[in-house]
Amino acid sequence: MVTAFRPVTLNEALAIRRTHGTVPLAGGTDLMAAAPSCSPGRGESSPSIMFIGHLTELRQIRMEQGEWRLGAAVTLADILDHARLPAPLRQAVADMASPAIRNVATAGGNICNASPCGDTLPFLYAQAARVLLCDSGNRRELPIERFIIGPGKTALRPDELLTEIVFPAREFVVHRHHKVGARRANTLAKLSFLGLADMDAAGRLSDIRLTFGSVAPTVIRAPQLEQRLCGLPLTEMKHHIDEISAAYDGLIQPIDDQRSTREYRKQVCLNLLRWFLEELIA
Amino acid sequence: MKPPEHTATPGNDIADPVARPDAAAKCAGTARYLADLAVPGMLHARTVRSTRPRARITSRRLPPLPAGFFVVEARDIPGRNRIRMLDDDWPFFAEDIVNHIGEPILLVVGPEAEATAMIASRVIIEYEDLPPILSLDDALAGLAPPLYGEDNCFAEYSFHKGDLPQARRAARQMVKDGFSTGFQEHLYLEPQGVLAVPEAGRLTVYGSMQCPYYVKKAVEQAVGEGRHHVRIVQTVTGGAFGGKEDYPSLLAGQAAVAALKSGRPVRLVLDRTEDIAATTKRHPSRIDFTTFLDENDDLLGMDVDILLDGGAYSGLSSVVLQRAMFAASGVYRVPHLHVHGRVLATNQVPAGAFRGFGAPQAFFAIEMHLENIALRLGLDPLEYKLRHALRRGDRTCTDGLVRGAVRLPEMATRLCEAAGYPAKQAAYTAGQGRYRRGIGLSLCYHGCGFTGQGEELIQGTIALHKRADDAVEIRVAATEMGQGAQTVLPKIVAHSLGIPLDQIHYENPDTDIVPDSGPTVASRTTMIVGGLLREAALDLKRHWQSGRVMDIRRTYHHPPHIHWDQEHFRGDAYPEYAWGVNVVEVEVDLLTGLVRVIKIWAQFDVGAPMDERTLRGQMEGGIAQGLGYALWEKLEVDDGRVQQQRIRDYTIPTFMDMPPVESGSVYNPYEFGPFGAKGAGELTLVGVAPAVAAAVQQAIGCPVDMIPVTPEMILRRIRNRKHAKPDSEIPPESSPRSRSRADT
Amino acid sequence: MQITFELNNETVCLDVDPLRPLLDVLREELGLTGTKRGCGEGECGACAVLVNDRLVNSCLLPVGAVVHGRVMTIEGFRQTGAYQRLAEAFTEAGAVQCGFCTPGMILAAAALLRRNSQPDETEIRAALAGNLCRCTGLNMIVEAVQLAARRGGAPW
Ligand SMILES: Cc1cc2nc3c(=O)[nH]c(=O)nc-3n(C[C@H](O)[C@H](O)[C@H](O)COP(=O)(O)OP(=O)(O)OC[C@H]3O[C@@H](n4cnc5c(N)ncnc54)[C@H](O)[C@@H]3O)c2cc1C
Ligand code: FES
Repeated sequence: MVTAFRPVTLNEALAIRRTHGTVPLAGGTDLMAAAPSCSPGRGESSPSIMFIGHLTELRQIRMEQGEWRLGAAVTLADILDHARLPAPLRQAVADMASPAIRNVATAGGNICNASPCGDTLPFLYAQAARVLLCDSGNRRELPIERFIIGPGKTALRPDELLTEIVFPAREFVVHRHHKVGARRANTLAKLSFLGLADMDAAGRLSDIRLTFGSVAPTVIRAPQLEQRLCGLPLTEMKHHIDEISAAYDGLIQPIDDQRSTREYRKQVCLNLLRWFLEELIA
Repeated sequence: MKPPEHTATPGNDIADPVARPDAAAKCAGTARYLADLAVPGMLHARTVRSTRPRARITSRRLPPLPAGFFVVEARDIPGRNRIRMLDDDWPFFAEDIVNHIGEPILLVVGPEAEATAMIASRVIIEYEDLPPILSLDDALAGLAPPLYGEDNCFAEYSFHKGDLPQARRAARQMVKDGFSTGFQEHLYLEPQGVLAVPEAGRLTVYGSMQCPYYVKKAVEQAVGEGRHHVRIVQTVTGGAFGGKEDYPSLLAGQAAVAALKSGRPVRLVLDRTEDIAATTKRHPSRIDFTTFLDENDDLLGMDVDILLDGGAYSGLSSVVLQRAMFAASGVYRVPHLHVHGRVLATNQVPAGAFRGFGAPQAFFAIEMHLENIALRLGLDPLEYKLRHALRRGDRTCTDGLVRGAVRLPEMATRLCEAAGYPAKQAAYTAGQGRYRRGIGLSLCYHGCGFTGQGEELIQGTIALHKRADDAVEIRVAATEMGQGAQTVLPKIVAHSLGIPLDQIHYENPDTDIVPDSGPTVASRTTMIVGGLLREAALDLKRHWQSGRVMDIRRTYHHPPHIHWDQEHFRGDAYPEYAWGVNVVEVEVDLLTGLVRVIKIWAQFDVGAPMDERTLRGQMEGGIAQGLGYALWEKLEVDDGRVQQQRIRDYTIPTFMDMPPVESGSVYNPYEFGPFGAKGAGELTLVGVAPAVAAAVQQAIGCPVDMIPVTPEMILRRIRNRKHAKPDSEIPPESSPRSRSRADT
Repeated sequence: MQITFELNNETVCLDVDPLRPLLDVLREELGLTGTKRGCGEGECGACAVLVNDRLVNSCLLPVGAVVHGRVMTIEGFRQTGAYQRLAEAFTEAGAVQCGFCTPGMILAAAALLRRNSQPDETEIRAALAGNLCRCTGLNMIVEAVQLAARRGGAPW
């Protein structure tokens, strides 16, 4: 039987983490599904685990100084229930898994799992979210794109926990989220696209964020390309679409797998990008 | 047309729905499925499977086995290491050669399920790879040594009608078309499982299954004919769809041998990934047509070539092929016909029975082919199809007689009206913008009962047992697997006897009690088994003596007018046909290739419904499964490995994917069916895919010649069309109004 | 590890591996076989139970995560009036065929109705989207939930 810890407070959890380096289990939907026939950690070499999903410190949703702060153990269902959270996030979450999974799966788990098809990630990249990482003495913040290093890899240290996810409480006038999967529910993304945009009074694009999920080891976002569009009058946008599209064509490097093809993923990403930009003009 | 026959209580039509007798226990969770059974001293078995598509096993290395754990393999089989099916090639356990990834090599058996699984994962099998046949193309190329026989062909047949060479000479036009279909997984919600319990001189196998007597014969062969009394008991079965027609025989044989070896009960339940990766699938197909039209553009002759991928073992492939061949020319009158078919062996998961049994492949192909011909001729597909549809008195493809009335024209017309088919057909071809609509139509039939000589070979036997308390027990081997046998068969008996339904008892079959009424397949349960029950019940009624125990048996024989020549495939391939029409409307997102199904309309002629609600369940369920087959259920085998092994990757429709379905049936009783009933279980799936494909084809304006119609394929087609020079391929004309060239 | 939780309105205290899926504990330790194992990967919903009134797939839930929680399986739920309503509606609407999905489906419907006693069709479809059914074609299950909601009258 594997050792399991069930701390009562976050501090206790961090202390356990420091002394035992145990694997945190929030909702467990990734950890448990990873080992279909035998539960995780059953083998002899298995490390201990620590339940963290119940820790109240990790279950808060707060707005502070113009920023949303989501506790790492906030469930996907909590996000859906919280009507004031940004629509694109809630939409991304509504398209994830199924109600029964969303009732236990956590926001922190989706990030720490660092899957290329993690569905909350495109939003977090687009919003330049930061993650708060704590060990028993220190805390540090990392931008999401520095926290996630590659598929299944994060900058989390063995004695740390992800405690909060922070992003500006900033809504965009235009937001489009597309998760393209094999069916309309209960499916992993073949690819996903999120576009956010704001216009100023003069009809110029004042801010734009473009992200693509499931088409590279980590979410694709290219702020320098977005910058090229910012400040453009919408009327001029159509002259730039080809160029922008070509630039993203170079960035999007999906793979072939049983779920879809490289060719399809890339083409649909570019189609959705183009559509988003054309819609902005119209 | 005869009115419905007399009913149990006046004013009470047999079609009026009754509460399912099994619903209460199923809702409450008290129904006992196989995995819910635990008997004292029970051991758990876990399968060690081949990881190579084709190889010689050079060694098997077992980890140290704790006390109480043991292994069961080919050499433990006291009888014959062959599953008794139509042929004799499929072993319970691989001997020295493995022929597909997932093939069972041995069982690890022990007192704890988890430890058993752990040990099984540590068994090391070493192989020497042999040249595999990894696809139909490999099989056709014939480079690797054959897997089966000399020619690697599980079955090859052909049959003729009329004089095709003559039609070829007389033809004004020739149209060629080719289609392909993929694997389909049953994905019944209850994974396969069996429990074998040895008792003195007797061996009982409980299991989730369709065909207790198939299983009995397989187990007898495994444990040695005549050495043990073998008893098979069906447990509540959580869906089957053909997937529990063949495969339970293998599992039961394995568990039986393990139980004999240990003297203890042994339970073998597959986990979902094993079930997807190793159990049988629907046969992938390639179907090619060369069709000849006369000066009026009418069908004059047709040459059809059918190729099925049978996987590693023959199983039921030869009969699947026959059913596909007898559906090859669809519901159409084709005066001159040649149909050739083959099932080839490949080192892939074996293909087997699946609702429709070869017909869904054939109907996808023929319906699309007729659609394409009509569009090329600039004719309305509905009109063109109806113009050639079989009528009473016509000859079927095997020169059998269409005896019953064919109500396709009125069914199709009514349905197309409800769906607004003609207007939409015309409007959608000129679609604009990102989202494009399409509407498609299909006509189909399903031969009821076994194909060809099947019913005569099986000679299904049923019994009614009247108890002293005047309750009547139905004793048949037909199984309830969700389709509603336990609802419908008791109604037939109750209505025939004119006694209340609650006086009829129908337990899950136990081969010690029920005679062999044949397997629960081929849409035969209501028509054939139900028909026998009705005859027996009428007989019982005539001789009814209250308070006395009475037993009645009946054995099936075709009505005397049915003739079949199995050697030349001539005559009545089926005693009767059930008919269907489907209309499907879709919307395709051209940016993503995603298809949204807007609505489905369907009409069926199943003779007479024995229970409206049960029939609707078959219609809705069959349509959903057909939709999955057409659009979402992609199962690929690469290098011999099933790619979509996990349930998350094999995507059957969810609540969010299912469109509204408007379904109904026409009353068209079959003289020899109980209360006029024909078959209904498979028909509802058969015609969905071509209607979907035709709708998508219209929406995107590019040919759809394969299923599943994935978004990947849709975008590829659209892109190729854009890049291709206008004439480099021959898409069906996108507008039925514009006349276009055809190959002449 | 000693694990205490409320199961079908009774307190249970077990000495089990906390990582053992709740499903296995229910079926194997406690003999509650109404909860079904369809996949073991959280994809099919046959193992759905209510934890603190919310729908959860018990195959992926380590039993250690329900400490002090309230678990309701079909065995407990079938004692309620809400169950009676749903079971009647499921039977009448033809929402039961092979039945393997049914206990999970009924609990999914209950979880929905508890939060939203008058759901529209889209809400029903979304709420049941994680429960697969291979037999019925699904629409008849939607109708069952609509029927139950329409009749109402039960303390969902
Ligand atoms: C049926 C099913 C469907 C799914 N569908 C989707 C989908 O559509 N889209 C999608 O993106 N995902 C999907 N997932 C994956 C999964 O549900 C999500 O990634 C979920 O958000 C993970 O959360 P969790 O709390 O369950 O993670 P857990 O399994 O508890 O943890 C995941 C990983 O993160 C680590 N971890 C968790 N919390 C912390 C923390 N606070 N600090 C440090 N490390 C931590 C764990 O140690 C583990 O390595 C699906 C999973 C299943 C089983
Ligand atoms: S009734 Fe069989 S899976 Fe739903």
